[in-house]
Amino acid sequence: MKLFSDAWTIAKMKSIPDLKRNPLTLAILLLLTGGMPLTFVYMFGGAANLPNGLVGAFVSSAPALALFASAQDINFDNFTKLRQIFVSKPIRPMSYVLGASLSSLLYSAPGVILFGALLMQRGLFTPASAVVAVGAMLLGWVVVSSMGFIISGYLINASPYSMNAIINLLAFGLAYITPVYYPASSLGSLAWISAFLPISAAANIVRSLGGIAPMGSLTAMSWAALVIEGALFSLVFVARSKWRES
Amino acid sequence: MVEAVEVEALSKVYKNGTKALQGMSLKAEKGRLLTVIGRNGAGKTTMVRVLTTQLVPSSGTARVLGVDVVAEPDKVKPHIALVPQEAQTNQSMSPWDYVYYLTKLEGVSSGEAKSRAIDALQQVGLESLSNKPCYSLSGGEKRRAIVAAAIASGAEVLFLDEPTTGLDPIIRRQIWLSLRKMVEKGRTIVLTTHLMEEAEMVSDRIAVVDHGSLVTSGTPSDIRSSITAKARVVLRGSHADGFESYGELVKLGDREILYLDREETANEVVSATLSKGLSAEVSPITLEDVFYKLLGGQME
Repeated sequence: MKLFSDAWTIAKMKSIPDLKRNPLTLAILLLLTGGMPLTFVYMFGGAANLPNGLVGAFVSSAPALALFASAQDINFDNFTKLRQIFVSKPIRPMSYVLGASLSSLLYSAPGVILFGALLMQRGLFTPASAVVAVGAMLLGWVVVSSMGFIISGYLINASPYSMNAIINLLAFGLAYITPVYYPASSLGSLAWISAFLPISAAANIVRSLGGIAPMGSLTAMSWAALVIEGALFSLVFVARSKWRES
Repeated sequence: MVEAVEVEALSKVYKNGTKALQGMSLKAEKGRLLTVIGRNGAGKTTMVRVLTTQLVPSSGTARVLGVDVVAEPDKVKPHIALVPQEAQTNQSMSPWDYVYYLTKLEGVSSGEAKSRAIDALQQVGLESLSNKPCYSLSGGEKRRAIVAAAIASGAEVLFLDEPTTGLDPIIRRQIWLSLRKMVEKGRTIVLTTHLMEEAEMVSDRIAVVDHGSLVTSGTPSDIRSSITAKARVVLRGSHADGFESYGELVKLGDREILYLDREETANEVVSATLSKGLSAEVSPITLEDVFYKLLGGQME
């Protein structure tokens, strides 16, 4: 129980003070993680591509922010020595990890709710498929969070500036370049690659749930890849993670 | 009697070959304030990091309240608090946020965490600034928020790694007062500092460390009397030749410090100095003098 209450305290510590003092942060994050790419999709693809864009915005908001929380934020905690204070306290490393990840969910909640509501309003989601879509999005969030934690473990002594650059590049690659805001079918015979990239895999699933892509082998591959990658990256992270330095 | 902190033959060699600790041994009694002083890189921070369960030593033992910090870190953690060296606050947080959330992680109720946070912020003189975001506070104010979090923890043993660095003398004394109040309430404090005045003012015992091991330890007066010099005369003016027979002469630019082997020769030295047209100022030996002499520093 303390594991979860500590995680919740850390999540609040990492989000509430900032959101209270800088509420516009939410608007900025909403624009950066979903609003801006969606605008470009509409501008250059027209209204016909809007459903694909909405799916992209819905599935990428939380995982993209999770990458920043899991790698950049933890790197910043090292820099400010907050991590040293956490380590010396009676809290589990898993509480810290969960707390950092949950804070990214709090930041991304408005985006997920807004884009989810727009998908429902356009008739792409039923209440039941919305639940499954949220599940797929959360699986993507787990995979990306674990990736971020693994990166922060390997680059524990990287400067916040280097970490910032690495994470921005990775987030750009995973959320914008891969078929997240556009259909995987655009890749032709290489569409299968999208099943192995966490955010585009979640997008494949949500698109098929919304009826804008066929519910076929790519959807099944995307589910399988998300589950396997989620388990694999979490295991690697747990094996690699060290609360204490040797 | 169980010592609050006990370090025996502790060694730490980092992966790059740096020997941070080389057989360090020292003790801190329960309910006392031990100050660890030493040059940069002497091993103070590494020792604190081992004792606060962050770093695994290469060899030796380290115990807090009788519990081995390497073998049973989870048993130690509920009883300790740390102010890391050069720690910084999150800019968006207020001092109250910082202290409250960290106190909440001790496993106390929200009400208890709030009350402790208010009390600790009062102790460091931050009550009127407690809800200001840290980006609007000075470096010293942010530092006090970090110290307040350690105070609010309720921990029996506090490890404070250079907590007053960058604070002005008034605030520093306010922190010293808080530290002494905590010691009066039975808490144990292990403090590292480069400020010799701080070590003299707040310590029950002082440990002088160098190159990863203990040089000497004792009460502040024990440490002061551990060198042969009994007083010092600061000579100002041209070169003060001819005083070497009274004790060691240390050149310091246009002035010289004469460490007298016998206190009673002070008047003699002052008379001789004045007759040469130089100025002289006699004062007791300070901890800084002892530190300088013990660790063999060379200024010129």
